[in-house]
Order: sequence, then structure tokens, then C-alpha cells
Amino acid sequence: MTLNGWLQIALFIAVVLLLAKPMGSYMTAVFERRKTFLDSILKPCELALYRATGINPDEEMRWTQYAVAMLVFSAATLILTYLVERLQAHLPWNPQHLPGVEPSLALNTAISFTTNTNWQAYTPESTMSYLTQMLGLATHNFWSAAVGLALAIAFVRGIARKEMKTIGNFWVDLTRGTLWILLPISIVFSLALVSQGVVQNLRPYDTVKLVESQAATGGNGRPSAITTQTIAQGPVASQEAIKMLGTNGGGFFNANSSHPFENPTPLSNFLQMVSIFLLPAGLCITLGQMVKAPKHGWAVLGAMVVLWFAGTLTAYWAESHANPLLHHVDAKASQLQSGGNMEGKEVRFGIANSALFATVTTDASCGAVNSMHDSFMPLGGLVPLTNILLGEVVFGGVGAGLYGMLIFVVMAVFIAGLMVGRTPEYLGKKIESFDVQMAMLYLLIFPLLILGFASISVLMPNLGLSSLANRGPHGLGEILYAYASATGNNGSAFAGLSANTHWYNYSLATAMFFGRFMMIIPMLAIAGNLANKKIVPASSGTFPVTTPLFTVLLTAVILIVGALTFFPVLSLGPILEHLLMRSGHLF
Amino acid sequence: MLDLVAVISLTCAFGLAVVYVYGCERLKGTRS
Repeated sequence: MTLNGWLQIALFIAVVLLLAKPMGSYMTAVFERRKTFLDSILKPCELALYRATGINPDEEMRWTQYAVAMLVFSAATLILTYLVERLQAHLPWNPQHLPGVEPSLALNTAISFTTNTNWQAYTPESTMSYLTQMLGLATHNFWSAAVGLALAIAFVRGIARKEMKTIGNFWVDLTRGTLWILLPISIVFSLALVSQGVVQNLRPYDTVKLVESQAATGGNGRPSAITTQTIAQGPVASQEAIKMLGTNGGGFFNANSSHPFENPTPLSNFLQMVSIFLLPAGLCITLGQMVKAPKHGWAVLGAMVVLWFAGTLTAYWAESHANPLLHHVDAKASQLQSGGNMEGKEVRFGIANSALFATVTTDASCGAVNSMHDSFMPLGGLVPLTNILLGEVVFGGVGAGLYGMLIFVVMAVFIAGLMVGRTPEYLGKKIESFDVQMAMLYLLIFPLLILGFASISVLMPNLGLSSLANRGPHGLGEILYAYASATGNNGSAFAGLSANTHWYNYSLATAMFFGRFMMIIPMLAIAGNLANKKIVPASSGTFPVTTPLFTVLLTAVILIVGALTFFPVLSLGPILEHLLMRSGHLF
Repeated sequence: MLDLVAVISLTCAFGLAVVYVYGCERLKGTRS
């Protein structure tokens, strides 16, 4: 670990925290339909959209109506993406003449992008046409993030309102989130990325002659020479901006944010990391403002920062040490070498920014990568995996992080209530059996999907093990990571697992689908139930949710629930791998 | 054929999600 590395990490979190309040205040204004500086441009577009679609923006929805509207929207856009993928050979903007996407992969990808997962079981530059990338995938980067924003705001309204049966209008929240928040920031961010060298064009791929030919083995087994290289390109910057801002993570290229056309400079890397945390951090402030308890928003943000720091410290420490089995290798950082474990990392980012990016992308449900998590040391790789298994509530996905965190808040106040022997209250609302039942449903679906599918994959060699590159605890880590990433709607891959098989395409698609919608529904049920409740005045027995003690309790609840659920499988995976590595075994 | 299976499966999955919504709503009325 170096001072330079720590200074960059400190700068990163300082910028995120500085931007949180203005971003949060702006989002409060947008979702409370107050005046903003963009109204003169966007208001006419908003009204035109409502007129065209027959939406009454003043009509409020009960939680069931809100949930069904969200499902109808997701179903329609999912099927659109599936059809675009399957028919891309007959559609325009396909200069490489790529064929239609194979059905299981098309289904997997359509579900993946609809659920904000962006799991990619394919090589984008050789599978998806420009039209598919833009109409099928980039649009989902906006829509799925806007859905997440809308859902989080609906939950916050549920907390803020009293004795009301409704939690807002899904179509209005979706429209305003897209027009006022995601679109303007993405346009500015795309231009910033272009300034750093991120590609933006619609040209066919270039073929260039290599300066030096490369030796290879041909299909007939005879040696041959490679003299040309294809340079893939396309509308990258426009997709890259929303990919990070919307915590989507699906790369235009297979190498994702380690590709020089997606993330060319340390500055573009810094901007990408900040953009991942920008909206989730701002939403904590929005929470505080909408429930009229600003300190509560900061207390929730505090718990996120504590968990983020723990992950970053562990990952940076683990990656700063080289593999101990590489004897007689000078692994110390100097002006001439990075030191530590540089396998799978880009030299232009180094160890600090690779460890930080891996932590940030899995704290949030982004899933973009600028280094290969599979190449991390066992304890380094444990950090992204643990972040996902904790439910991605550390900042979390756009909207999804906040509502996931609020479920833990409900659990924290419930546990605090049990400790003092009185009915738990959260901001004046009594937390009753239905709320706890729904919170438990939310919390149980997650491990059920991950551990269930991982167990089947491990126990059925023909299904789960046939496309696995590594055996032993590392192989288990790869399978566990895949299902955690899918269920948590993260989308990053641990690599080492060839997931483009029928089993993985269908099972991961199922995990993504249920991991998204089956967790959203109980969350909305809590929101609807809370909105309907009376406000009870605070008394001396009320557990305050605005203090550092609340932050400590919330952090402890997240860690205890995560540890109790996943420690056994983690001990058989990365932890065992670390111990075996110390005794000389590699996988 | 696989396309048809995919579209039908998706319709069923979303239909199941809608049933789940109203299942949760009904649960609210019961006492545990």
C-alpha cells in the first residue's frame, strides 16, 4: 500500500460525499415535482409523453398498482430487447453483418439488462450489432436504473406519508427519473469521456496491419502467422456513461472498463468510479429530506461509508502483497514497478485503483470491471464476493441500494425493539408483523436463489462443472460468484467460468429475474403498509435513527445477517483457498 | 420454436409475479 494510493482513495470518497448533498437535494426536487433549472426544457417533453401515452400524472397508485405497472413496463421492454437481439441480422446498423443471437443467450441477455444486472455471457463486439447495443441494451441501462430510482422513491414516500393508501405514480417517477436525472448527467458525462479518448462512432470495425506478425497455430494444427488485427469500435461513450451512472455495468467490449476504448485514462477511471456512487449517495440525502429527518439520511450514508472503507482496505491490503509462492521475486512497490499482485490489472490504473474499482462496483450493483476479479488474491477476491452477498446495500445500485438498505433498517429497528422489549418504531411508524414478514421474505429469497442454484451446479457435474476452468475452492468461488452476481443484479463475472451454456444461461436468467422482481414486491408491500400507518409521537423509549449508535447497529445487522447466511460457503471457497495457498496449493 | 417457449415462459413468469403481488397483499389481512 502506498501513500499515493491512499490519497487517491481519500480523494474519491471526498468527492462522492461533497456531491451527495447537491445531488440528493436535486433528486428531492425532481421527485416532489418542485421547480428545477431544467424545467423549461424538460417539462414540455414530460407533458408530451403523458399526452401520447394517456397517463394522468396526478393519479396516485396503491402499492399493488405501482408493482403491476412496474411489471408491465419491465415485461414489455424485456420482450422488445429479446426480439431486437433475435432479429438483428435483418435490422439496420449491423455493419459487421452479425447473425441473430442464439435463443438461450438472447433470453439471458434480455433478462440481464431488464433487471439492471448486465451479466454478459457473450463477447459484445462479436455478438451484438450497433442497433442491439443501442436500442436493446443501452436503453435498458436508462430504464432499469429509472425503475430502481422510482422504487426507492416509492419506499421513501411510504415512510414519509401518514394514513395514505398510495405511494406515488410509477409512470411519473419513471419519466422524471429518466428525463431530469439520468439523461442530462449521461450527456455531460459522455462528453467528458469522449474528451478522455472513449470512442463514439458508427463505423464498421477497422482492420489494421500489425507492425510485427504474431506466431499462431492454425485450425489444421500447422503454425501460421497473424498479420492483421480487427479494431472493434462503435457508439461506446454514450453507452459507457449510463453504464456507470445507472450502476448497470454491461460493457460495450468484453474487457469492460479495462478496455482502453471504454476507460482510457486514470481520470476517466476516477470519473467512472464517482459516477457509480453518485446517485446512491445522493439518494441517502433524498431519504433524509423527504422524511423530514436529514440526519437519518446521513446516518444511513455513514453505515455505507464504514462498510465501503472496510472492503477497500481489505482488497487494497490483499492485492498489495504478491503471491507468497512466488519466491525470490521483488514485489515491493517502487518508481519502476507497481509491486503486489498485478495479474489481471491494467498498468494505467495500478493496484490502488483496481482494488478500489472492484470494491465500488460490487458495493453498488454496477458490475463493471477494470481488472479481473478472478486474478485477485483469495482474500482480495473475497471482498467483491462478500459485497454482493451482503445484498449490495453499501451505496448499492441506483435505487436498489437504498431500498435494500431500508429493509435492513427495518430489521435493525425491529432488533432494537426486541432488545428493549417494546414495539419497534421507525420514524414514528410502528413496525408490525406484516412488515417483518415481508422484510424476511426479501432477505430469504436472496440466499435461497444463490445457494440453491450453486448447490445444483456443484452437485450435477454435467450441468455446472463441465464449463468450469478451475477446481477446488477457487472453482466453488467462481460458481458462487456467478449466482451471487446474477441474483444480486450485479453482473460482474469472476471469470474462469464459461457461462454461455444452456444450463448457465437459463439458470442465471432465472436467478436474475427472481432476484429482482421477487425482492421488489415484498419491499413495495412494506412501503404500502407504512404509508397507511399513523405517526406515533417519539417518546423516551423510541430508538433514535439519527445517531452514530444507529449507524453502528445498522452496520452490525448487515454484517451479522450476511455472515450467518454465507460464512459456511465462503469458508469452503475463498477462505479455504487462502489457507491452502499459504501451504503451497494453487487452483 | 424456442422463441415461442421463451415468450410463453416470460409471460408465465411475469404472471406469477402479479399473483405474488396480490398474494402479499392478501397476507396483510391475516394474523400470524
